[in-house]
Amino acid sequence: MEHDSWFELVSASADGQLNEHERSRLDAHLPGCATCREHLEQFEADRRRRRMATPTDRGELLARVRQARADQLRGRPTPAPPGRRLAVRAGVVGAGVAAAVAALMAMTSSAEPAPAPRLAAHGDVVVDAHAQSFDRAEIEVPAGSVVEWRNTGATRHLLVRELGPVTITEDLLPGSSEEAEFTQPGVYGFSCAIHPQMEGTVTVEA
Amino acid sequence: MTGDDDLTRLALRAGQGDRAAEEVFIARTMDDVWRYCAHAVGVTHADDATQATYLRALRALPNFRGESSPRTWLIGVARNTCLDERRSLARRINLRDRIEAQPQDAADLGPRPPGTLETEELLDALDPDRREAFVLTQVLGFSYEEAAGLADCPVGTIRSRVARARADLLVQLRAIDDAEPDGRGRAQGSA
Repeated sequence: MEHDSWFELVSASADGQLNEHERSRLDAHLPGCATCREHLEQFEADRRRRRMATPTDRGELLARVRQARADQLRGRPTPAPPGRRLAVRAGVVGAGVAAAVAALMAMTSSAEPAPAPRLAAHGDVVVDAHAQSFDRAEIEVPAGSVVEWRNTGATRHLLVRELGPVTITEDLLPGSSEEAEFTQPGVYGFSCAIHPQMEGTVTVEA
Repeated sequence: MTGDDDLTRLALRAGQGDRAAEEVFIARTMDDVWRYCAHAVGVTHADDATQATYLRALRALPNFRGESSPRTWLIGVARNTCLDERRSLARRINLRDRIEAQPQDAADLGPRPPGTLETEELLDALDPDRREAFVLTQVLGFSYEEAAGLADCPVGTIRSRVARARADLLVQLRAIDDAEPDGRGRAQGSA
C-alpha cells in the first residue's frame, strides 16, 4: 500500500471518519510505523486544540449587520412591490472600509406606487435588462450621475454591482429597477449572476 | 458549537418574523460565518462577505423548513456569497489590468492583519479546494458528509482533500521549523 494512502487513513482517523474495515487495517499498521503514529497524535492534538478555541467576540460586526438588516427591512416591505427604488452611493475612496460600507449601506429606498408594467426612468442613464442581455454594456457618465437598471423583460435576473469596495447582489425581478449614484470617478462592473453573458461596466469620468 | 435543535428553533422563529430570535440567531452563528468567509475571500473582505451572507440568508429564512441543520444551510449561503464575491474580485482585478490608472483600488486580497486567525497564513497558501475542505471539517467542525454536501462533491473527495491539506501544511511547517533553528516554529499553528 502506498504511503499516501496510509496518510489519508490517518487523517480520516483523526477526524473519526473511518469505517470498520479501514479502522482495523490502520490498527494493524500503526504499531510498525512511527511516522503514522506521530501524524495521528499531532492531528488529534490539533483537533482538541480547535475544539477548545473560544469564539471571537464580533460585537462591532454584529452591530453593523444589525444596522444593515434594519435598513434592508425598512427598504423592503414584504412582498417587495414592483418598481422599488434603491439608491446607492457608489465610489467611496480613501475612507476606511467599514466606514465606506456603512455609508454605502445607508441606502435610501422608497417603495413606489408605480403600476407594474410601466417603468418610469429615474436615472440619468437607463440600462434595460432583457431576457438574456443588457441593452447596453459599456456606459460612460460624468461623476454624480445616477444609473438605473430596469428589468423590462419577464426573466428574473440577479444584478451584481461592484460599487467600489463592496459588491451588492440584488434580485432584479421583472418589472423592478435598481439605481446607483456614482459620485467618484472609476470603473465599476455590473453583471447578472444567473446569465453570465450579461455584463458591462460603468466608467465614471471626473 | 451551539446545539442544532436550539438553533433550528431560532431559525424557524426568525423566519416567521421574530426579530429577537433573528438577532440571537445572528449572534450565535456569526463567528462561524466570519471564519468561513475569512478563508474563502480573505480577512480584508470577511466583514463585507459576512454582512452580505446574512442579508441574503435572512431574506431566504422564511423558506427554511428545518429539514437540514441551520448551520449547514447558513454556511451554504456563505459559500454562495463568497463565490459571487470571488468572481467579482477576479473580474475587478482583470478589469484593472485592462484599464490603466484605475483610480479605484479594488481593495483586493492584500496583506492581512497579523494574528487574525491561527494558521491563517499557512491555510492561505493551500489550494482553494483543499483549503475549503480543511476549513469546513477542521475549523468549523463539519463531518465529511456535511462538508461534501456543502462543497458539492463526493465524501471521498473531501477525505482526500483534507489529507492533502494536512500534508501540505506539514511541509510548510517543516520549512518554518528549518528557518527557525531555536525550535519555536511549531509553537502556533500546525496541521
